[in-house]
Amino acid sequence: MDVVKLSRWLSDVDAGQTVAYDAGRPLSKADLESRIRKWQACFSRTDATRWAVYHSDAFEFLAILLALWTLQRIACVPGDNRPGTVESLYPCVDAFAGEFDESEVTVADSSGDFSGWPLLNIDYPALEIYTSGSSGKPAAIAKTIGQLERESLALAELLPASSEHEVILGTVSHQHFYGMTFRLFRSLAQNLPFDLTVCEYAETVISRSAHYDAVGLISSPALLARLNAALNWSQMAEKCNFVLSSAAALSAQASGQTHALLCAPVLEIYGSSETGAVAWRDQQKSAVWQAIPGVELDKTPDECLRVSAPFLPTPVVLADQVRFVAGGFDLRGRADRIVKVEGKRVSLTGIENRLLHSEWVREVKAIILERRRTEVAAVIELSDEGLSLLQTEGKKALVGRLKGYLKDYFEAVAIPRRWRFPSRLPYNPQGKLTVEDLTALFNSEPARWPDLISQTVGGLEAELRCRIPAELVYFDGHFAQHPILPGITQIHWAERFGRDLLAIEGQFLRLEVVKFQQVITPDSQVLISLSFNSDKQKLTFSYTSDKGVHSSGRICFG
Amino acid sequence: MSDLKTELKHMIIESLDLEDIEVDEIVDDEPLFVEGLGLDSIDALEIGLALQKRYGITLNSDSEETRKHFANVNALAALVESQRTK
Repeated sequence: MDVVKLSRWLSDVDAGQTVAYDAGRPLSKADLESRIRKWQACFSRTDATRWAVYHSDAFEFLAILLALWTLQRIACVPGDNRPGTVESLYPCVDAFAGEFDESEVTVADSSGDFSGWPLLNIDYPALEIYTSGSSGKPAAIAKTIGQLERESLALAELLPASSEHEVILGTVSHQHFYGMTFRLFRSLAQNLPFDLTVCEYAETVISRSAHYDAVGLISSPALLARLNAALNWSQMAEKCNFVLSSAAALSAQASGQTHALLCAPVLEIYGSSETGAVAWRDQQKSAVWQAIPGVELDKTPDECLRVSAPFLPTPVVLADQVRFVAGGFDLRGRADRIVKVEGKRVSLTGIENRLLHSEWVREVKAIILERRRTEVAAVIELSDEGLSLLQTEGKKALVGRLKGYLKDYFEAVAIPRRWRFPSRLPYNPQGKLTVEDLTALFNSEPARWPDLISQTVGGLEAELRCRIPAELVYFDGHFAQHPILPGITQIHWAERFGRDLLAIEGQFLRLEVVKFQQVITPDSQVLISLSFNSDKQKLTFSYTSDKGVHSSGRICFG
Repeated sequence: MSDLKTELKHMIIESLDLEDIEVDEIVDDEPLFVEGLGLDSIDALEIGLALQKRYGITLNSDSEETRKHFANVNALAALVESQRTK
């Protein structure tokens, strides 16, 4: 299938072509054209060059972009339309179009003669994407239409349309560059209609897919790592051509589950707003990242990835450190303080700077905790005002105020979920604040679970290799001089892991043939093996190590 | 019904790994998202999974409706009461 260049799309594509669907209702290019002309009429009335653009409807958003570009204006696209975001955009733009409280712009009736669509100018910075810069201030990344269309060409090579009737579904917003590129620009270039809704839940994805003969899904780990296997995936699996994931690395487990539920390749895209798409992988085949067609990669002396591509005017150095291996590269972590929280880019420095502006904070350090999910945590040395608030109203009220204060400026996932208020930040003797010392402040909760070293789950069997931490509450008083792991704890863990990993749902009825043969001591390593017989509803467990069998038994459910 | 609400509050605290909040501090009609508890979109996905696991509830595909069910503990309890399969 021919690839259409973005600059020629308006002039070349037939007006009857279906561009998008709203839950099965087709929207043609002619429908889009009439929206574009209305927006053109309103933009033409002013000289404003730089327009902030936010619209939750992807079709309307696209109409605004194309209308601005036919007039050689600049679309400045923020990730959200929060009051704090809008405030920070004021110095950067001349006017606001779309869903803004401040927006005075209403769509005007298009009038006057229409003399056909122009080719878009491919050389001026038509698009500016606003993301969290490392200073915490929003940073603009400019793109020309030439860059956008060259990236679409490279993506067409990587991801050719697999059928003419494919409709692109998305769970990620088009206000971010990944969603914009893969839901909108790739779709335009390859004549693939997109469904204009951002599906927030897997249930929505499944029900939308029922409207179409074939679909491709543009998604991210936030959703794919939480797919509910109990939903009816089979009808969607029959028509799903591919699943795309980006914004953060997908775990091998989530990749495998997505692949199993949707019976389609799960491609991950690695990239950034600065560079666009850089590399891809399919973990069902290899965990190594490979360059997108036309992209050339090398690294700087400090191990950071340097990207050259036909769609980049100059090479771009990213803050991700890499190691080149046979067939591609591995990611080794970030060299700056921008982190990904559940796929959203968050500047820790930005959160710190904002908190420092509040009257309650004297000094602050934000860190990332990997708990059940990735989350931001804050360690704060309070000002006198903060301290008196803590003393009079308590921690919950103080945290509530701090969260409320951040809410105007950051998306909910970026707001710290855990807070500590030590009298002084934990500087070490060298005068440094280490991540380890800061993280330790959050580990004060009593330990109740083994440290997982690795786990394998297949069908109705699971194996967990664990370290038994010495800090476990269960060692307390059991026994004073000779701590050993209580048998009841071992049964409790076996039950809990069985429920979590093997989807056991019945009530705990009784135990059979339980034997405790050797004690388990603090800091030892054990292998917990679980096997569930679903007919008999019995879970067989054992704790073993290089010392042999520690314990074994069966838990009966019903 | 009130037992169910307590159970749901336990489920929220446990499945979302929340800190500094006790069951009796979650108010039945206080919003769970944005205001009130201040939960986010990832939490919504986790609550959806927990509801399926514990009560066998499959959410409707209409996210607007889901948002109403997730508004507060009262709404969640009503959802579980009417649609639980276990």
